This record gives sequence, C-alpha cells and structure tokens, in this order.
Amino acid sequence: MATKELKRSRGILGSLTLVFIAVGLYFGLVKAPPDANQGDLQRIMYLHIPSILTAYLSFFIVFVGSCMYLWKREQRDDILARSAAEIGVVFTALTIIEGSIWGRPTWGVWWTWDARLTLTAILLIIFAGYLMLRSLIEDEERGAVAGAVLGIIGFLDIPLIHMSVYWWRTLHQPPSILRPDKAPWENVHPAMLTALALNFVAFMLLYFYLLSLRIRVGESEAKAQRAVLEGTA
Amino acid sequence: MHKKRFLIGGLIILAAIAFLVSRGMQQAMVYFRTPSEIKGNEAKFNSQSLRVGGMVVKGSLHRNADGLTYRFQLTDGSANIPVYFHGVPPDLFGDGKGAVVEGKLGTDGVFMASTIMAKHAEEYSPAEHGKPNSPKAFVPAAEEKKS
Amino acid sequence: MDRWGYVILAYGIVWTGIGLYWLSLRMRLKRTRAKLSEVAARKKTGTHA
Repeated sequence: MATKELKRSRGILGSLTLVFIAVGLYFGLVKAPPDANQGDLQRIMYLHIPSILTAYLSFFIVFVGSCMYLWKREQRDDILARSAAEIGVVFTALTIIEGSIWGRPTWGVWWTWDARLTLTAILLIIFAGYLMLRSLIEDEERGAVAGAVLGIIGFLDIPLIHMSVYWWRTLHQPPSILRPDKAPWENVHPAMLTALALNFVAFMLLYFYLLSLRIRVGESEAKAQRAVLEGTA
Repeated sequence: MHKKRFLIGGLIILAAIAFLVSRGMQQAMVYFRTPSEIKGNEAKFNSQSLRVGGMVVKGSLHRNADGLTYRFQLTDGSANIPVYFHGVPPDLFGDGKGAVVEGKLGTDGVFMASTIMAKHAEEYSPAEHGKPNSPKAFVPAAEEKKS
Repeated sequence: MDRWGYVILAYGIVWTGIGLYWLSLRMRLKRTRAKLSEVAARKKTGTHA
C-alpha cells in the first residue's frame, strides 16, 4: 500500500498551505498599499474574495459529487459531497462575517437586504439545512439521496448570486475580478492584485488540505458504522 | 414506496424554498427607487418606507453647524430628489458620491432619510493612483438597455 | 473602532474560525479511529457486547 506516500504528500500540502497563508498575510496586511478611498479597510477584500470563491468551488464539488452519487450510487461520491458541503458552509459563513465587518464602516450598515446579500444568506441556509438533514436521517442511503437532491438545488443559487449585481439594483458593487468585459488589473491595482492572487492560492491550498482531511473523517466514520453493524448482526 | 415519499418530500422542500426566495427577492429586486421614478409620482410613494439610490449632486451637500444635520440632492442624471438627514453618515459618503438612503418621502417632496448607505465602486487603487470612488452605473446595465 | 480595528477583527475571526474547524476535524478523526480499533479488538477476542 502507498500509505506512506499518501502521508508524505499530505504533509507537503499542509506545509505548503502554511507557507502560503503566511505569505498571504504578509502581502495582505503589510505589503499591499492602502486604498485611496477606504484606506486599510480594503485589506478585508484579501479575505472576502478568496473566501467566497472557495465556497463556490466547494459547492460545485457538492454538485458534482451529488450528480455522481445519484447516477452511480457509490458511497465515495456521497462522502465527497457531504465533506464539501460542510467546508462550503464554513467559508460562506466567513464570507458573510467579513463582508459585514467591511460593510459597517464602508456602507454604514452591518447588513442590508439587497439581492446579492439575500441570495448569499439563502445559500448559507440551504447548505446549513443540508448538514442538518444529513445528521437527522439515520438511514445511510436515504440521507445520501435527499442530500444529493438538495445539494444540486443549492448549487443553482450560485449563478444567481453572481448575476444578482447585474440583474437587480443592489448596494453591493459589481464584481472586480470575475467578469468577461474587463481585465482584473483594470479594476484592481497590480500591487493589490498580487496580494489578492497570493491569498487566493493560500485559500485554495487550505481548501484541498481541509477537504482531504474531512474526507478521511467521512471514510473512517463510514467504516466505523459498517463495523458496528457487522458486529451487531 | 420510499422513493415516492422522497420525491414528494423533495418537491415540498423545493416549493418552500422557491416560495421563500421569490417572496424575499420581490423586495430585494427593487432594492431602491431612482429619483426619476419618484419625480411626478410623489403621491404614490408618500409616507411609505422606501430606499432611494443615486449620486449626491456636486455642491448640493450642506451640513448644519451642529454637524449632524445634512441636506443634499440625490440624482440619477435626469431627476433630483432633495434629502434631509439627521445622524452620522458613513465615511465614504460625500459630495458627488453614490448613496442609497432609507426613509420616508415627506408630503413636501423632501425625503427624510433615517439611514445613509454609501454605494461603493468595484475599483481599488493606492492613494497615488487615486480615482474618485463613484459607481459608474447605478442601475444595472441590463435594466438600462431595457428602458 | 478605527479602520485597523475592523481589519484585525475580520482577520482574527477568519483565522481563529478556520483554526478551530481544523482542530475539530482532527478530533473527529481521532475519535472515529479509536472507535474503529475498539470494534476491531472486540471482534478479535470474540466478546460481542
């Protein structure tokens, strides 16, 4: 078995993550210049954008895992989807908290019910509901099917969130990075873009590190459950 | 049998979510009104809570000696609405900046704002490259094309 | 609170939150692994509960 190699690559991913988090913090808090309008407050962006992109990726993985599960009915895909849903909830909650802390001094309010914020709150509620549903349904397979259906529906909220600032009047500004009509450096100064990119890499590494850890938790929980069932049978 | 029950349960959840989303979004979709929509229709909006979004007309911002009372005009380019506000506005609020105000339209046509929110642009740059922070498109481009 | 106050608050919450989540995952892994080996040991000795 290649357990040793797996362990080593996990170790490498872990250390690389730590290095990039440190570099990201340095660039975000020290190296990047303060913004002309917001001053140092703008540094919250180096958390906010990577956080929400990590959440989007995570729910995309839920979507893929859920589709695969409904198609092939393999527990592996369900464990992947459930793991990604949990991490997605963590990063969505962090995104909302960061946005709120930024919004108070910038907009003047901690929260407002505009389309983008409302749809993001709905995303959090759907996937928090997903996690509750999974912990409530004891039957393995039924829980997995219900989760897969909800996971697919929940993912469909993300394109709505992204387009909300184009379709409706909002307080939230349009995207700076994820847009086809303008290059990122036209909206964000290169020195700030560097800090943002480094933090994005740090969050991606962190994400895959956490996901692999969460999948191992899921796998060993499934194994333990099987073992208990076999023992009592 | 189980599958059927699941399908029905799933559909109910789906319908509930769709209902909540549409109810919530109806409000969120018209997050604010523009001065043009209000001008000429004042009677329709009178003394109901609403939000108005626009740019603060340059030179229209007046602050009373107490430092807490503000008067200014909000514009969307074609109409202006006079606004009165008592309180502390956010740092980014100012002459020529974008703002969304919450409050009530008085019978005299003056909007009594209880909250001022600053609308931020999607541009970021250090001070030496500083651009004025003003949202270019206040109403989404999709909506402008339609009208 | 000044601007740095908000920045520190945001960074503090994010990295504390992520750190706690990471710790909780490690604890969950440890717990289930302990349970697994316990079940395996019980099976070997044949003492069914």
